[in-house]
Amino acid sequence: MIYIKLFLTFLKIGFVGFGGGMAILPLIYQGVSKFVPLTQADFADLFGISQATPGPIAINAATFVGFKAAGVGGSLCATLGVVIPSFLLVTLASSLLKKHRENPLVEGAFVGIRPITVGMIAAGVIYIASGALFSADISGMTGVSEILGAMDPLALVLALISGVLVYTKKLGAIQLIIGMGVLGAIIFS
Amino acid sequence: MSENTSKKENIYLQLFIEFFTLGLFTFGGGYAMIGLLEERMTRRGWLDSDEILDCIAVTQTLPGVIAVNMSLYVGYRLKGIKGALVSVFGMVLPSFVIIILIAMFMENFGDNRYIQGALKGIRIATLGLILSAAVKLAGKTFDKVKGSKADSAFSILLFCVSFLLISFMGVDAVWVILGGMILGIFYSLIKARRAEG
Repeated sequence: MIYIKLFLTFLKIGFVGFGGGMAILPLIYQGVSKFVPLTQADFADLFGISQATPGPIAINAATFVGFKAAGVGGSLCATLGVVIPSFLLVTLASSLLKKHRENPLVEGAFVGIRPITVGMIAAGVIYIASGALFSADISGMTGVSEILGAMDPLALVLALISGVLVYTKKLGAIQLIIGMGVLGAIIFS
Repeated sequence: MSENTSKKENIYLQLFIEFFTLGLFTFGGGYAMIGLLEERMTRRGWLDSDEILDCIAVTQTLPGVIAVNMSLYVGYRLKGIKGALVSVFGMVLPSFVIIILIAMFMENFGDNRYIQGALKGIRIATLGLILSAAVKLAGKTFDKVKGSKADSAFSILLFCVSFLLISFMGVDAVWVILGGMILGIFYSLIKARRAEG
């Protein structure tokens, strides 16, 4: 039965999918192509739509594939399947952390984890910047001047202004996103 | 008693609204959500900077959809299992409704040039948001260890190594976080032994 198949496939993806959205999309492709008759064009749509709509990429993809396979019920089964492992693992990890918060080993672990996480967020800045400031793919470029040449200076200025406005609390995050969406539709279209 | 009950309902509603908003205004999930999460959680006074970092580290290390993990983590942290359920429902709902509408009515909507332009604007806003969050969280993290030179050198070293490994060597963030965990445990053990004499 298609509902159970969808649920189990996405349940498995929820348990083994590390690294979030872009890492999970190929798992979805492999997992469902065995029993859902999706065309190449459907999968191209899957990638495009999952990234162009709000919300987590993998949830968008699960909803889309589930709908293509079996309508709204299919969307529900796929989304539930991918969320349930997260629910079990996050609540389990959180309750363990809560219980052992005072343990010196746990405290020590977080002393190491926090600066690492700040480094990861700094890496996230580079990752987001590569999508926001460049129209061409920069992963193959090596020269600094070549990379700077491919950068959109207007986008850089707007990003810095956005950052300063949020940092100084002149603008809330949601207002900024709406404002930049409207501005983008006007000046980048 | 009745005031107590209304307060309880209030926090669940707040969790739902907060994560519904995050789901509705994040394009791309994961990294793209960090800036928005930091701003919203700080504004609500729900998490301090250490707790935001812990949330990001734990949710990144576990399997599953990172944004979903984040909503569950914060929901559970504030209001246990029920809080987690309400938060994840809020996070998933906008995606669910919007994707079904698109799959039904307007599959090629992404080709629209105004939507493309809006998405480019939103990517730039997302960059500004994560930049602001990175500066704030780095400032708070490195400030706290100002007391001891060794602590501060340890943090800054880990920060630099983590940034270089993930950004330029393509190492998966999960491994870097696990590495930081082990180094943090060793560092604390050595420090405790030194303090004992």
